[in-house]
Amino acid sequence: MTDTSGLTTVDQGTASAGITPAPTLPETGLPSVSQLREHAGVLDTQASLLRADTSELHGDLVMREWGVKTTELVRLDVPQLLAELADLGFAWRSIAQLIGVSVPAVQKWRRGGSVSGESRTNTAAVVAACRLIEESYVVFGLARWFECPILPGVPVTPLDLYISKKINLVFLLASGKTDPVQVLDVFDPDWRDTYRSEFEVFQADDGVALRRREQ
Amino acid sequence: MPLNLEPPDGNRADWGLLYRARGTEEVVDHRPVFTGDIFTNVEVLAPRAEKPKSKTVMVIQHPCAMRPQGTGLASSILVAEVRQHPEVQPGQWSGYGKLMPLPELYPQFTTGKRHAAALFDHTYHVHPDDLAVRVACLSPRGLNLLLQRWVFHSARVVVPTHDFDEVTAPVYEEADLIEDWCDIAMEAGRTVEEALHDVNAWLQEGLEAGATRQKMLEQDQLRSNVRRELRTAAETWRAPEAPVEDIA
Amino acid sequence: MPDREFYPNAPAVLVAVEARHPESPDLDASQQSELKRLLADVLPLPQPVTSQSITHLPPADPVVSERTAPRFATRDQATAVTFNSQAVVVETTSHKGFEELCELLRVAVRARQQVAPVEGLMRLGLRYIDEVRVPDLAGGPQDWDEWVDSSLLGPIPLAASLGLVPEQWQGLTVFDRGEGRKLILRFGPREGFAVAPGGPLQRAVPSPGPFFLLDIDSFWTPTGEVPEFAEDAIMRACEELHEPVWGLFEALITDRLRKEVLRND
Repeated sequence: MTDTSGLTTVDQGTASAGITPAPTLPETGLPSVSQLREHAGVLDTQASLLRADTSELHGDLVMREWGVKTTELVRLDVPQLLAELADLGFAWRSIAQLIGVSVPAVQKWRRGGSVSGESRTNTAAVVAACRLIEESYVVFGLARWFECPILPGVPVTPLDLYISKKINLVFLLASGKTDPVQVLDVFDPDWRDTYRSEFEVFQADDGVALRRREQ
Repeated sequence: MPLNLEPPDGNRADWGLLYRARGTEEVVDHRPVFTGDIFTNVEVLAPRAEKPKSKTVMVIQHPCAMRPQGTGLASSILVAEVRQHPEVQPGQWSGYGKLMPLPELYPQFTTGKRHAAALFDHTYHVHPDDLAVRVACLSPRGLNLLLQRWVFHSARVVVPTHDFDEVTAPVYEEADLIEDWCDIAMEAGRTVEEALHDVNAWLQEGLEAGATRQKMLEQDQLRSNVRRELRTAAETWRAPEAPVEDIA
Repeated sequence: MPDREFYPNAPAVLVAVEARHPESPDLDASQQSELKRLLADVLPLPQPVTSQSITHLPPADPVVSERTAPRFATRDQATAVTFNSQAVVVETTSHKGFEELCELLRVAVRARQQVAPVEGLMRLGLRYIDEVRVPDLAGGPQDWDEWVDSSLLGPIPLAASLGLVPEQWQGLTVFDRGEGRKLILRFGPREGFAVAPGGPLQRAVPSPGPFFLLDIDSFWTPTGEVPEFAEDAIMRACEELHEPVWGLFEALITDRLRKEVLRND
């Protein structure tokens, strides 16, 4: 269990039953923040869950599991993690974007180049997210799923969501429990304007091309 | 909201996202020549000039128009001169319609020399053999911004970059796959010429109902499958006929 | 004191200001509609929040009660105002400066007082939750002294000489500023997130690795008479609560953090 600061409750302490616990201090309230609180060793007269919605609680648990998996995977070799992503079918440029580095940086790591702690964590986090989605949800062809628009005709993909630091929306989409329109509304409230286009792709004699849509 | 020439990333000056590679250490030799690639020491001849000059240039020919026969480069490639240019801030990208800003093209410099631009009023046609020393490649985002600005300069029409992306994504993917294949094949002992020949044959190989893997790249749902298949095939697959000429 | 610097990569993941008042009846539908109308320009999305309370006084069975409070958010769902029975709370995961936060509080308080006025300001709190994330901690938790002030490391510097390996620590300090004003600093290295993603407030979600928590809660409670729940007085009190926060934050971080992390977009 964790408190509002994400702090792991530590051991209760040797022979602590007779020891006066530290005073509970007041806090400025945060009604929108997930809070699961347990006061160690004391049955509280009032525990408050700020949300009764089990899907939001599930979202919290998924995020925590993502953290746990990332911590496990960060111990692995980065080349090994990269190979796992390549085997899933991700393009190297997509892998680089997910980690937040350049393609040459990724290529350097594949050849055994040094990796910063932050990049190691980011790489592990990407692999952790992929494993979590594969294990928890029905997603066929993970790399394809990441690369395809979440709504036909709107060029926003789960990859775009992850790169924009909206991994929670990625997990939500993968769960199948949300309408992609709602996800787009959160990601970019102006998406209907942003991606409105007068042009369409068509097959010309010498390859694909753009032309103005018929009104 | 009226459409304007777009900045790379809103009001953020994160210029790295324009580029796939910068500097000869990052550029991969066996990557196919592509729109947005920047070359130095290219001999260009201005109209009515007596002698050619050596310049740094950027390929601005549309990727679909660079290989009219499918694999070999066209004998004349349209390029724009690249010169040092003050940094164009994100809020200024709606202007400067005569050029493609290239901020931090040269990150090794600490002064204003690190910034440049490709000038659409200084274009030349060059032979692909003259494109020898490549110093930078654009990312998909950089490529789509280049095309938006080049089309605006040429036709005074603003086309959203996400529309260009639908057209450029398959060809960009193909360039990536060719690079991937060559990496794997060369590690397995193939020469770069052999690897290029093999991958082009593999991409063009006829499959069921007249499909080819190159054609499959036009569908975003199929790209990752082609990628996975390529990474397995590159080590051992060989073209039925040996290469007869260099393919750029 | 030098001018406040605004960092492009500031570590604040949640900033909140809460104005508490005496318990008040739940707002009815027409009152909620009126709130919605008054806030439509800045907070157009109604997103009521439901809370459950479990009260257990043995030997009786636990009693579960549920209340729904009106809450209004921006379209990107990064900022919201909640009107529960005891407080008006403004929260944001996209902090753009104290002045903007204060202005939102002003709008919220004004709307509250127009729709269903409450009597008395029982507590005013301003809270900053920072997740300080850095490029490298190759040496482990003790490397945090490169990035945050050594006072936040407690007895950690003693560990090496004693053959002990520090794993985690938690700190809490209460500062008394007099006249009912206090500031509580909670701090320490953590893993994952201080503010869990996936809640009703959208936040930028970095990789769930190590970070250093700086949780600064500056608040006031009345020492004598309970003042009115008045807009201008609340704004003045908020300014006073904000006054030490920036100086404390700057004192708790190193130049290396400023140069290598906070000033990099």
